[in-house]
Amino acid sequence: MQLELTVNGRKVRRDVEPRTLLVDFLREELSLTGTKVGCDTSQCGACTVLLDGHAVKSCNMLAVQAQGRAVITVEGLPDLVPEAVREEGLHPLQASFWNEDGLQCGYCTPGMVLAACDLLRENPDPSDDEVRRGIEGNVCRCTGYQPIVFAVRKAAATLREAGIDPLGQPCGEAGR
Amino acid sequence: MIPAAFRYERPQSVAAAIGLLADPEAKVLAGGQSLLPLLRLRMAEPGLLVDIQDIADLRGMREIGGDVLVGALTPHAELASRAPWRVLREAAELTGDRQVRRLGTIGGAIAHADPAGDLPAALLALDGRVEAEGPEGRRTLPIGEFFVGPLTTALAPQELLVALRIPLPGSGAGSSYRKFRQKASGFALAGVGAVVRMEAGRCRAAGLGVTGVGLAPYAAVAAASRLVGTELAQRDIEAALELILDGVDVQADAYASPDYRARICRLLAAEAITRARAEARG
Repeated sequence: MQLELTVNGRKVRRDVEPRTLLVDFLREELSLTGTKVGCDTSQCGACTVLLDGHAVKSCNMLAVQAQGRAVITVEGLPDLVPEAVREEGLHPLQASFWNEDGLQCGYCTPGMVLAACDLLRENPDPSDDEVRRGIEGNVCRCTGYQPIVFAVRKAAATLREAGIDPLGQPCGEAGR
Repeated sequence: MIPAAFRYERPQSVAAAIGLLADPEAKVLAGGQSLLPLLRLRMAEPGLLVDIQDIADLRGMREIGGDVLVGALTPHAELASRAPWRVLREAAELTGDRQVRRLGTIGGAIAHADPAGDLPAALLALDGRVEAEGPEGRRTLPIGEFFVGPLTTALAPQELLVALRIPLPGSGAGSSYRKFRQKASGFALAGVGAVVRMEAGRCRAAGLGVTGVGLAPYAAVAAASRLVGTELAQRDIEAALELILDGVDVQADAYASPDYRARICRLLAAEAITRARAEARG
């Protein structure tokens, strides 16, 4: 069937089989391979993307369910924030994972970053515990969770300072 | 794994959805957070998926004659932050993870009827009602009659769960949901929802919903009745806990023996009732 949706700000139109999973659509049809398949049982969160601004698992959803909606993958993340807030072209969350060594093999990172986007929109200044609970749907099999928690909190501080949420919308005093 | 092929429809009204459900191979798709894993494992191979996400009548929460009508498509994340009862907020917050709570819906969770689902326990404690619509019109079922067995409900094949109706809290009401999580799956080894209404220091009404313990979530009616008329003192709660597993076939699996599960269930119930009492007292 004809599928039309927005991916990383661009309108996309493709003919798909209804049984196509969103993650396979993104990777195979659009070559957006930043979104990973980790477990195929919807437990690891490596395939997390933003759907209308909220984190969802793209392996646990059909592409056709996203008809008419807006998807953001890790490739589209930097474009959400003003250039002045990017670091070497990276979104503050990506830059923070890089600077804080919030990754070892890196396979879980795109999912972690997008889950953290959702968390920081809801809570711009989470504690360690709140970060851990906020990314409970994402598994890192290198088990390097501590630097991931650091990275999310560091990015939260950067975003607060810039006065924007992870999607680039004004927040803080101005936004409230 | 890739799901088996199916046809896909996206009706714009409840009536259109019910029309499509006349197909014996049809299955309703809400948020898909329980259905998609089943499709991928090919444990379910429906010929037609009826995606109800566009039906505006199934969205939102609104008050109606002393009750709250919760639309079937209300996602867990919204319940967790906006539901009028703490037992619902806590059950929603402890369901799945962040991503699942964004897409998963209350109607989907109730209709799926997982024996270890969290929201069923909250709704049983609240003595909620299920509103369902089929070719013969709309009917209301008490939640206590809804869960028939594992993944089995009282819904007819062509019926659509449209909303859940629950009483408003009012003054003197308190509630809580407590859960012991199986670490890997996140599902409840046991979970208990408690609701109490206090008046002049005594419990006027009580409800207890239990999940993860028997073959289906159930309302512990005898235990809840035992609380009514008491001050919910420690001994009153203990007396009720004696009855909470009455007539229940406590399940065993790789994670918990029936004895262990029963013990966890009683501990959680004590905690949920105590928290409900504290909230009711303000």
